[in-house]
Amino acid sequence: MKSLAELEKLRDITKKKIELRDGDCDYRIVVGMATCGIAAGARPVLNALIAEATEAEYSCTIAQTGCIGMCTLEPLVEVFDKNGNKTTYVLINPEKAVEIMREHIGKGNIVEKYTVGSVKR
Amino acid sequence: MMQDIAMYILDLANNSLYANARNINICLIVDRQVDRLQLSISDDGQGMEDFIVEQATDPFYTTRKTRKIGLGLAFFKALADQCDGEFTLKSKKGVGTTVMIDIRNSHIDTPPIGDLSSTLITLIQADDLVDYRFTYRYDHQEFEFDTRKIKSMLDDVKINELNILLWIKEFLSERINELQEGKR
Ligand SMILES: Nc1ncnc2c1ncn2[C@@H]1O[C@H](COP(=O)(O)OP(=O)(O)OP(=O)(O)O)[C@@H](O)[C@H]1O
Ligand SMILES: [Mg+2]
Repeated sequence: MKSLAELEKLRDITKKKIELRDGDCDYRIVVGMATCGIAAGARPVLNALIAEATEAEYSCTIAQTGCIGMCTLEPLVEVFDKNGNKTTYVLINPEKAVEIMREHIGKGNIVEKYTVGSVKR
Repeated sequence: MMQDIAMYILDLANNSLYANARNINICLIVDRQVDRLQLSISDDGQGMEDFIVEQATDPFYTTRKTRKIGLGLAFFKALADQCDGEFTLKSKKGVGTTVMIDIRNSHIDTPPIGDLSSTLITLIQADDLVDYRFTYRYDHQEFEFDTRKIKSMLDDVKINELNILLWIKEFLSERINELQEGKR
């Protein structure tokens, strides 16, 4: 069983990690979390991103937003790089989310097959 | 419609977040003896005018800018209608909103509870300034979780640091499973 004492230890570890962080993150990931996104499975996508980002310590922040306006293509994940360039990934599931994390956030390669451009074509 | 109760909770608490709530109370009661499932979400957000409360469950009412329909409350009300239940929406401008359902637990259309711990950490992740109290009563056992208590232990570390969130998720899963298996 997890105990609250354990949380105190984790707090101290996290404090040290935060001190070591240098400047801005390379990427900002945004997940659509309105009714349309939630019904389509946005919650497991967000949870998969959190788990993967924590484990591999990628340089990214994760945020949630409301309806992005493409409800039939939910779950939607947007990735912004440091220069503000946006990549929109559509119809994402937890497996695809992990792949995007490893390829795009980890190595800087856009996963073309899941982008809105490729799917709509 | 949503596949499980945890998804409804996420969706309705998101309404509270959009209404700029700072405190959100989620209360889930499952009582198999009286065969009821009750869920309420209340917030101290901006609330709604009386005439809007009347329209809020109409799918064609929304204050969203990206589309012309709002489905969250309509879905929740439909769930109550389907499962021998009642839907209540109370709101006061400037004070807050409470939405609840009381449905028959064994009804064929009553969805499973689903992944409550994922829902809760998704909500906590969205905004570390919002506090949640989650009360879950299952038959005669009860579990309560309050983000204020967690925050009081974290000093200046944010509750939505990813590894803290993952810890909370596991903590919640353990307690919730225990509660549902009736071991407490
Ligand atoms: N907790 C709340 N506090 C204040 N206003 C609310 C609250 N919940 C709902 N509303 C109002 O009622 C409207 C309808 O809500 P509903 O959840 O049905 O749709 P939505 O949130 O607009 O869109 P969707 O849920 O489909 O993403 C909202 O746009 C908002 O104006
Ligand atoms: Mg809504």
